[in-house]
Amino acid sequence: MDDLKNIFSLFDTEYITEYKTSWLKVKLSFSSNLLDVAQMLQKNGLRTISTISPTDFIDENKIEMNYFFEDLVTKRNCWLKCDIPRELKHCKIESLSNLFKGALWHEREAYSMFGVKFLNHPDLRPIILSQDYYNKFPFRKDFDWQEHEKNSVENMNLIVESFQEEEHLSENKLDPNSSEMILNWGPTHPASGPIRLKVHCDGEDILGIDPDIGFVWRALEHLVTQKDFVGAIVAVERLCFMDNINSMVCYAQAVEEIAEIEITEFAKWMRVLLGEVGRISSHMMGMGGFYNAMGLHTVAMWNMDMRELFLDFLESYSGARIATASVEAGGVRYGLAPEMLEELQKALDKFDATKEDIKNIFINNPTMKMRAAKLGILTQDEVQEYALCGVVARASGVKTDIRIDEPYAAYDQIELEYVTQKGGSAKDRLFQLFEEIEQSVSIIKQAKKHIEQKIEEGEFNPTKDYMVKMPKKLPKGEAIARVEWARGEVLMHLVTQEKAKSPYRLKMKAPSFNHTMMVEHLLKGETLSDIPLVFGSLYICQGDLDR
Amino acid sequence: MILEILKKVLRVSRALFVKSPAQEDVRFTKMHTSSRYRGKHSIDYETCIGCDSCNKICPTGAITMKHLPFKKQNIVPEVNLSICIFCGLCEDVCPTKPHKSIVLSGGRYDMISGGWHKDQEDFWVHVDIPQSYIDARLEEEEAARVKKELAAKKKAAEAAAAKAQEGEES
Amino acid sequence: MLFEIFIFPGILYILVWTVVLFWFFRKFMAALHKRVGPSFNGPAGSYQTLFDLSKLLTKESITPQGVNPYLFSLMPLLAASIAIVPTALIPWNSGSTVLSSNYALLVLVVLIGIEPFLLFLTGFGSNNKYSFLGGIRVLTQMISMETSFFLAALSPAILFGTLNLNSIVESSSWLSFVVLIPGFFLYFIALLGLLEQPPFNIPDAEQEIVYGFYTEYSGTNYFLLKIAEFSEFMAVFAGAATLFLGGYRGLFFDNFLCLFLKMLAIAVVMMVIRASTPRITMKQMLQFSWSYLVPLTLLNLAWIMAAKILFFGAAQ
Repeated sequence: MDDLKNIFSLFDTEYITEYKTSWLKVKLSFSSNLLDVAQMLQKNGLRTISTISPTDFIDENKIEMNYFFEDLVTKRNCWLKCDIPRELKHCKIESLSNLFKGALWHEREAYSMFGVKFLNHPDLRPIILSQDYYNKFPFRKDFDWQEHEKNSVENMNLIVESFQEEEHLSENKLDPNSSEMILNWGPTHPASGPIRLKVHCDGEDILGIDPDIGFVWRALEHLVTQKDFVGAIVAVERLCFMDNINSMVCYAQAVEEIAEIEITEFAKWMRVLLGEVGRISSHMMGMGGFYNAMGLHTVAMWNMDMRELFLDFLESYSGARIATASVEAGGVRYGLAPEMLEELQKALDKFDATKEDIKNIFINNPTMKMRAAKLGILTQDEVQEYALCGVVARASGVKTDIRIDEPYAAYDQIELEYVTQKGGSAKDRLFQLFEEIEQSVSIIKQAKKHIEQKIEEGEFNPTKDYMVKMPKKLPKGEAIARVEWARGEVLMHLVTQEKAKSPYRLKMKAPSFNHTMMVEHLLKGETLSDIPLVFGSLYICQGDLDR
Repeated sequence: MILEILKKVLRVSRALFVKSPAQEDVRFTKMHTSSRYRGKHSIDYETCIGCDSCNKICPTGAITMKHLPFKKQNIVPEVNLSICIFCGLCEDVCPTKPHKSIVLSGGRYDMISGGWHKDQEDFWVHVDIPQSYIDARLEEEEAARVKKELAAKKKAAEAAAAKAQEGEES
Repeated sequence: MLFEIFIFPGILYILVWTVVLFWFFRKFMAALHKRVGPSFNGPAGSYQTLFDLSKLLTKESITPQGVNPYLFSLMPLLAASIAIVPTALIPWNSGSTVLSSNYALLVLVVLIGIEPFLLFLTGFGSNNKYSFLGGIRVLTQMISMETSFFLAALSPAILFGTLNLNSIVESSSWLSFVVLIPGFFLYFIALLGLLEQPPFNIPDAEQEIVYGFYTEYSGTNYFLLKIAEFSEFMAVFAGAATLFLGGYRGLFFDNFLCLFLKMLAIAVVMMVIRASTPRITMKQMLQFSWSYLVPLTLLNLAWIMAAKILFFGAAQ
């Protein structure tokens, strides 16, 4: 930490404060210093940019840029802020993507949503948005959504026209004497989900890939600001509802931090329990997706069979199987009844009974190893450079896990170790998924035992102290919260105004965004058969890719 | 390696002897037995106090308030089920005690029936208030109004009388 | 003759076989997946495939823009009719072959071998990138898999010294069965490649190239292609049962039922492999085929010759 402070003593800063356990929060006086600061931070070991989040303060006529630097090795983080003018003409800042490759798409996103021009960015095209939003910068506070909706027919026509134009152009650019062609892998493709990979290929060989994302863009970050603090959870959980609980936990933590409220011990343990159930149900789908990519649906079906019982637990707890909306700021939404834990025990028993079969047939599968062991290899350096996280990062051997690095909920009281693999190939990512399911099951067992014990001792009252009263209006403030989501680190940056009834700005950093960046890097020079496998092994969900 | 594959092949066939939840026939039984299961709403117009808080919290705007011809408690929620996401926040905020006026936990899960377009059009939870109830409420209000008027008259008469008395005294 | 053409082993039989096998595949796969499969229509969902196939017949057949409509519609018809012909050559029951020929095995193998080229043409004529890639994949796979398929099918012919399927069945014995086990094994692997079954379902790999050469087909044309696929299943299964497992001859009685049970057993094994083995890539398939399968089938031929000399006394 002191090294970092020394760096900032060289520059003009408005304030330097320590934040949480591992963060240093700094505001630069001049945005022109940014590049130099970033360079020095990188030399100091902070090689990862987690995300870039502009906030539009329309009353103060400025846009505040937030950069989140992380060091995955020594766990020192830095939250860097600086102001830039709001007028489109002067809304410019130096690009960091030549230093930090992971910032490449985040800067494009900031450009398309807020109109922040990044100087010297190698490829500053709009991303996520459809053509009708180009150069309108929808997340600026003065953008009129209703007005835009009124012209929906013209907007649709514009999208179709520009798509046809683009297709025409790209086909014409091809050399007529070569056998190169452009194959659209998605958005309506059996294995793609709503994403389009423009694959330039020569027969079966891939020459290059250009991902086109944004097909399920719901503008969640804007939607949240239209709702009150409680109602926002239904937007937050739709980040991707394979693991919807942890994203709500993250949002709730940010709100609690601004409201300065401490939740009850019981609610903390419940968050662990529910969160791990969510993680398991997501990882099971992930394993299924990996094998589906190779045309084998048995794993997905068997996992669904097990997952069903975990969802039964969620249903008996919250009343819904998928979109549970079960974590609110202030605790968890419902109390706990003893028969629910019995339901959970059934699910755990079923997992223990099926585990060996899955391990024997599908984890130690020679055909799978033949295909996946040498494919899609990510090194530790690449993980740091591109800000990869979660399963993908740990499969490459990087020891990063927010549950241990920055314990939230009751994770500080739980026995937990880094689970990592060595190789970083597609196969290792599958292994990682399976081992993390096992780890989650062990966490659930610990949490369940602890909760049962405390209820018996009378320290927890499961029907009463699941929730503390939250104030209706929040003070002015901002907070960041991080959780280890199923797919990796989720970082939420929440800004509120004075006497706020709803969030002013919520930035959600979701892992799939960075992982999709790697698709081209991993697939160049491979064959068409490897696209679904690499894509499936990166564990991408379009929900949190587009938001 | 081929031996390995053969072993896997044999082991997969063990699935033939496993009973799984997917193989249960649930056509004729109730699937969701959780008492918290969030399904179709039931709205109690008698206890509803018309506070509008369910409408305010609804994250998707699925709730509209129906106007009733009363003076007080003159709105009651109606839910558009094709917009509703069944988050249950309306039930959470409902202030009536001991029973909530809008309840979706324990509700029905088989909401779409018929399968025709008109069934989709009519995908609403309406509040059907019998005329007798409306009449009773109106009568009640009328009675209250008359009573109030009478009371006011009486008061006015008393005041006038008092004034007169005062005038006489002075 | 009319009975043979239209009923058994002709068109009606093929239709019933397609419906029943389709249903069996679905139901058995569902059990392996721990789910139910079709269950609403008819007893255990047995009408479901009937409905599905009849639905295909009533649907509009869409011909994509810019293709030759004659080539596009002719190919499925050709594929279906050529795939049905081999049924006439199989000895379904003792002495009841429609076309009893001394070169039956040769004809069978050639008819099975033509099929992929027709499928390639369907892909080539569809004017679709996915179909085209699928067509090329069919061709590549067939060239490398058929070599070992033919060589493996040759082994009983060498052992018994005849290409007549009737005489192969009649002269089979327990000893010949044991001698032919490696040949059967290799035939089975080649069969998976030929029928595009996992782990060799590369030509219609759904996750990579949508549905390969099928992509543009719908309605009646698709129905015909499916009939062709399932008739090919029948020809290849029946070929395996006839060549290696003693055809219609059973343990207790000789009947068509024995042949059918043997074919079903092969189908079951195929399905279980499908449920446990992921698809491999084109490169790996080529490598496997040319550096392992073909040399092994050649070795197998050597073993058959040696066995013939050792056990069947054919040295004279």
